[in-house]
Amino acid sequence: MKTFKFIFFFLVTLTLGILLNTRLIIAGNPVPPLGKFLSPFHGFLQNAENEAIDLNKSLKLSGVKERVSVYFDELYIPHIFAQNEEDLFFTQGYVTAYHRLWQMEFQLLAAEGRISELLGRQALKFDREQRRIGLKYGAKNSEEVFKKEEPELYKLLEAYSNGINSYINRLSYADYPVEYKLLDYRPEKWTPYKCFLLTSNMNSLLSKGEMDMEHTNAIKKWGREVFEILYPERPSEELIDPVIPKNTQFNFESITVDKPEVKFPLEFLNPVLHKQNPDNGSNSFVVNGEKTANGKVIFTNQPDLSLNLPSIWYLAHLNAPNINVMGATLPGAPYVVIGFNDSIAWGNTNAKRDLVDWYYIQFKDEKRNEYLYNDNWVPTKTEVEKFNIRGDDPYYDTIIYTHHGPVVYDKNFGNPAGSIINLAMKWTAHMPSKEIKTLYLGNKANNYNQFVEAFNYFTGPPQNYSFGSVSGDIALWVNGKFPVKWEEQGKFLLDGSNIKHEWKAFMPQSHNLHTLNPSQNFVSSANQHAADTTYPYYQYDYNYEYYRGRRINDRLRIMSNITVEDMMKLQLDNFNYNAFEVLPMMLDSLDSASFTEIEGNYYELLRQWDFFNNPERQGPSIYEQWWTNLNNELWDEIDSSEVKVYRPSWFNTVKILKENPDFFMIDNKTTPMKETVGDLFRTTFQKTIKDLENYLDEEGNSLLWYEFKNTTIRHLLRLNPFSVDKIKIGGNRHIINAASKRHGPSLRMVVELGNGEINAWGVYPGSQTGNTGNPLYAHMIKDWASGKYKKLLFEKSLNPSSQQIVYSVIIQPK
Amino acid sequence: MKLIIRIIVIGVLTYFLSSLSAWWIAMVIPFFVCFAFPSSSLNAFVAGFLGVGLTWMGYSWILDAQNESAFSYKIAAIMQVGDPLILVLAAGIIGGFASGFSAISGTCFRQLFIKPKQKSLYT
Repeated sequence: MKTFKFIFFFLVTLTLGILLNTRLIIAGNPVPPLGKFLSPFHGFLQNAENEAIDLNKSLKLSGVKERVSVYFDELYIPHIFAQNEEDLFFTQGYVTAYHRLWQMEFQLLAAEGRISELLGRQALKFDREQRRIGLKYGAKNSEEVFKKEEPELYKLLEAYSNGINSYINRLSYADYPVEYKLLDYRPEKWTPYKCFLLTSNMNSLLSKGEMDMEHTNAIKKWGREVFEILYPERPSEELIDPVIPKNTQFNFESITVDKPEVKFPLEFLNPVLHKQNPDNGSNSFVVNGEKTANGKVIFTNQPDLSLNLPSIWYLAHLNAPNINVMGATLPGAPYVVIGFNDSIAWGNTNAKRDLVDWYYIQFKDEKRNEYLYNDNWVPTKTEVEKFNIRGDDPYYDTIIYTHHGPVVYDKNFGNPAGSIINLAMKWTAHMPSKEIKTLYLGNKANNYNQFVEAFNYFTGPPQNYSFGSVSGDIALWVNGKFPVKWEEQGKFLLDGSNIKHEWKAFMPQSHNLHTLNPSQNFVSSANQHAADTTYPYYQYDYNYEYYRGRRINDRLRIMSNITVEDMMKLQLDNFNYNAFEVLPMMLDSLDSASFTEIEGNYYELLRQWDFFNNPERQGPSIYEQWWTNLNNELWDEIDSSEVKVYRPSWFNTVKILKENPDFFMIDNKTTPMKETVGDLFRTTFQKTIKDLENYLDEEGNSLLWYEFKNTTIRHLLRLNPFSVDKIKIGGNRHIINAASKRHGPSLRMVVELGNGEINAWGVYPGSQTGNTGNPLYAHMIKDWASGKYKKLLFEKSLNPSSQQIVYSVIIQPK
Repeated sequence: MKLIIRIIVIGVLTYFLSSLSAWWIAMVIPFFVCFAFPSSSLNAFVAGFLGVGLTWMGYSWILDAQNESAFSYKIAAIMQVGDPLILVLAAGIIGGFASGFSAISGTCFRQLFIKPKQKSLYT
């Protein structure tokens, strides 16, 4: 009896203990292990930090060779002073992990297609897609080549990884960032391979944009003439203000490829991959001494990306013999991506170019061991990818590789039942990249020539690199690995068996577009067309930007005696170029004599609006709703098409409305009448009023633009309590201050260079710490929104007792 | 009196040993305390429940107050329990049950080794 009683209670106790140590799914919601999570000695309350920083002030770590000092300034930017580069990057890894461990690991688990390990089956589709498009494959290729060809730099990646691991090894469950506790997993060991995954991840954000299948569908569905109206490559030569100033001379013999007599495989296709955000882009502009009040160069950069917490950027100052650099780093790799050193400042904007092409593949038979290429059967390679799924058996996916790249679409993926189309993806991101070497050399470059030399190695997602130096030079280089293409190559589906459809060559770096000290005394880029039509290479992207670049250049052309504050003001400029070009026409079409009172009120608000999307205006909200309704109504044929096509750009939409009023899509097919552009404006104006009145009744009590737009910076796990919404900021997409609902300037940086010195200012929507329980979590958002830049501390040596240093850590070898 | 002492012993050991070990130390301590000192099952349960429950709840409450509930407020929203105080109470109750049952197990385990006193016919 006593034995039975003991066994009974012991089993109850054991079961309870196991249950409280296990993540459970209760009513469909995952619940973290309650014992672990609620224990005040271990669980979430250990993440409720009361101090901004709690690192041990004196650390002994076996990874460093000599003493390293880390000083945190008022923004909690680490200033790392080391005596050799391995110690420097080791410490950068350690400190970055201290602030951002969960984020740096999670984003790369996502890149590698391993989120099902954490979230279960719901993430499997995402994971399969990541592996199929070859993000892991690209990272492996890069690492292999880098390890062999750049052993010295590979050592620095190892040092950085060791720094991260040294931090991870000190942690117990109680110390883990709270996301690990919520999802119940633990950090794994960092390796240099992960640094290459980061490049893959950036490619996925920046160089994946394409519409090849939509184009193929559109041309098959509507024919060439309609296709050209919807998607012209250069809708207006006059209004394109390219990255490289018009009439720049190109003094080189270009590689030419002739357009072969080709037939595109005309198939209706069903693209299922998630697209990179079309708004991903940036602004950067640099003015030289001729334009500034004090004769110095002023440099700016503002990368527009999805707005997330923790922020994509982490600011750091790295100092060791022969290197003294500061700026924005990407947590997960050891270098400054956008920043400055003693002599130069550099930044980048996305250089859009179609770098993904799809090849139609014919396999010999069901076994898929061979595919047709140039009249031969060529062997394929097969990789079986294993996906570990939380709470489920592993999933295995077989991916076939051709010499073009992975066959993303096949019988197992992306095809509707009944029809199988095999499509291989060719993408520069699959090729080995030495981006890390570029940035390493760029961080140390002292002048224009060294800067150019460094970017010789740049094959990552193409960027417009802008440059300014203390000696007064300004420059801009469009860098990346660009295939030489014949006209329209890769704009549609290509034939994988036809050798004529191959990329024949890559452009030599010296042929990449660039300009040094142009006569206009400034350089600027904002993701627009790269050059005018005299550039001998074919350049194409479906998604060039038409507004921000023109606004920047319009302003810079007339500005003079420019100060740092002027440049900040231009970064925060809210001018809505799109509304400026189309709203007057929309308003003119309305019949103001027959307005009801409420229509009159809305009309007046728009008439009086000055086209600036400032946070506390109502005009932008009304315009935004009207423009949205107009596009919905106008492009309903496209939205409801049974094969996937896409809407034309805003710029081209305006062009069609103005120049092509008889275009067949303007007519609403569901009504017997033939609608005109004017009808379209009038009906959508009335719908807009109805929508906004509903909005006022249900949600908002005003039409203030920032409330209506609701810019939200969301935690990577989409947890609302860790996100920040209703941020008081103006702007929108296609505006220099590009803050839209979920996207916008992820960093604002301004650097003044001259007289042998550098002054820099910056702010970003987040905080150095990514720990959600830290009192400073997300603390810079307000200043970012209102444009209060922080002066960045940048000295060659720092005194720990200085007022600007709020915390210092000394690391000694163990 | 003995009960109060046991509660205090369990509470103090939990407080000092927890940060050196995993959370389930709070289930090991009551087991051994109740193994070492005789008590009825009910008494053991109460000692374990209050010893760990009060320690977990009290310490949770202190940490939460120091942080002015800033963080627990967010976690409460994520866990969909509304008030952060519920998390503090839940810590006490969950810690309490876990340790209460282990305390009973400890007592039962002790009883396996101890012969019950022979009842005297004359008393």
